[in-house]
Amino acid sequence: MIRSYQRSQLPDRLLLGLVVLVSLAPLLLMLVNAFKQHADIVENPLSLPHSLTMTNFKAAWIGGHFTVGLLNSVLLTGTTVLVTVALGSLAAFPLARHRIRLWKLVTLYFLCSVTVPIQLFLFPLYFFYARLSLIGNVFATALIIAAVNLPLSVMLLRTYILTIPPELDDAAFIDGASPWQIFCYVIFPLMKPGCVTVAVIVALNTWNEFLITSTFQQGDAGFTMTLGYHAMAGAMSADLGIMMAGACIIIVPIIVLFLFLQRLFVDGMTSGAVKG
Amino acid sequence: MATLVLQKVEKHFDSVQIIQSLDLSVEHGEFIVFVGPSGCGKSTLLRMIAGLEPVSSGEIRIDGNDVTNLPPVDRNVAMVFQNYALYPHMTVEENIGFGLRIAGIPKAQRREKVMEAARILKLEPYLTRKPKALSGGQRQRVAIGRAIVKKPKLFLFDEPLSNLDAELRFQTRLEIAKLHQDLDATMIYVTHDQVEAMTLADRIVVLRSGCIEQIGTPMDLYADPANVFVAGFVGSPKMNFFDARISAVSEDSVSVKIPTIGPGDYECRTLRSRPAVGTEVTLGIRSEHIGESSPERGFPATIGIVERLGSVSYAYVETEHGARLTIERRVQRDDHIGSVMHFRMMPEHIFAFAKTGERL
Repeated sequence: MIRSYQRSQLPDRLLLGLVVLVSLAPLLLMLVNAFKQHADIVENPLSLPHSLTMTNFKAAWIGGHFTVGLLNSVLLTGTTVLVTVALGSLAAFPLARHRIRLWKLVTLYFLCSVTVPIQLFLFPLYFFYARLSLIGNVFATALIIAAVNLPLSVMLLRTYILTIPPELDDAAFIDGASPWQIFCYVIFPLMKPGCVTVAVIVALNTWNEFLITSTFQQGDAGFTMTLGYHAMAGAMSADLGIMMAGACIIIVPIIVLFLFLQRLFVDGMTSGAVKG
Repeated sequence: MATLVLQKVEKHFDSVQIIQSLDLSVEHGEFIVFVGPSGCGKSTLLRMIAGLEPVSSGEIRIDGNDVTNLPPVDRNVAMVFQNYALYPHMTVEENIGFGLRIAGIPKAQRREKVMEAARILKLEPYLTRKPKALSGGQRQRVAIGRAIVKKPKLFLFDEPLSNLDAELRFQTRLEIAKLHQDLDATMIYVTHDQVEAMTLADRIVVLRSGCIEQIGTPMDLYADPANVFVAGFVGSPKMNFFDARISAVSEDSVSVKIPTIGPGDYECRTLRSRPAVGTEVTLGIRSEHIGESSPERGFPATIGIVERLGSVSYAYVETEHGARLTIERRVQRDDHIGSVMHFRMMPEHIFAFAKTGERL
């Protein structure tokens, strides 16, 4: 019985394995070629490197100004994630818990915010930021990216809060907690999986962001890793090995972050709260 | 301990009236149970007393103080919810002590109070566990612990046992009764389970469609129901009802004809008023007040199903004219399905109700 079940799973597993291979192949190719010289890549992009030398990585790190880029990217991503999760969860709490008569209008507003292209706001925002001398300020740029990400985050977090039993709010209210205390002590800790999901989405968006950062993070000192790589692409596009090494350097932090946060994707935080 | 007074309390959501001008007075240390069918407003009323639901009009007084517009914490009430409502990310100790933490009680003092509540509820071995590591009964005890640790004036229970299995329900019911005795606290308890209502209550409030149908001790409601709804709702198995017509009226009783039982006249001695001959009424009699009789004095009925519960059996019988009755059988007999037996109704236990439902 068990064997026949395992046998029946075989085609599924083969299909899944194929999907994984197709997904990982470009990354693998990038990693392999990062250790090769330009000539070797041109000759055969699929060949294995002769040795695991870090020369390309060193050249990419210096050429892409990644020391500054890494710092800026981490600050930008961290600030954006913090602002989005903090404001998003605060906005989602009342939206989830109160009956709102014009809920359809609110939803429409959020949908509009998601669908209207950011290009429409770039010029007035740039003008505004320039007047306030905020061009190149990584924290100020983070606010713009957070604003772009907020509508979707609020909708996601609201849906998550709806899964938390409202009796917990009532119980805390009876215990004397104010709405702020209910949010801090009861709702927010239970929202952790939802917040992690939003954090991962926003972190990925911010790390890979180009349009807003290229507009507002001008000058070498303001470069993020993506901008540094873009600048490097102009100067070193002739050396594919260095370009591949640069790409590896850019994606490593986000992969590490994802693997770390993946452990927090623990569902069932509310199990035991109510009858189950 | 506290008194509770509800004066002309009303609740409506938009145009829908949930609670209709309701008056109620609860004495110090009383155990009051709200019963009624689903949607009758009993939980809404409890939430209004708790301060979780605003009152549309009227006044709520606890210990003489108007608390109508006060939040729960200022009313000094505690509530136990149907689905426990424990904070899943906190340990049992943190759950019980949460209200004290919010009140700013120092940690050492808080721990002392939590330990005392845990000792009363036998929760000491589980203080470091989280709710998901507890059984249903233990979770409910934690919820009760969270209520008693605050030493509230008023305990409110919203169907606290409905998620437990039969055995646990019985045990927890006893624990709540003992808790009421030990704490000498005023308690309001909402349930749709009349066994809980009958066993726990000092007084029962029967609600229907947001109105109080009757208030009284469990035995008052059982033995002297105010209307056909209370008569049918209180008591298990449900009271037997038949359509009848008044055929004669004397000084201390009336005679009725019950077409679905048989052609003879039946005497009824519980009437509070004297309706006119010919009045259409609904008669009610409990299953234990119908006994076996000789063919000359009783009416024939065919045994349908027999439920044997050990010390007592319930026979579901049908008369040849179509009346269906539930009859309690105290003495163990071999009632055969399909056999015809004769039964007699005790006249001093037949209730008569007007067609509008009021007791006659």
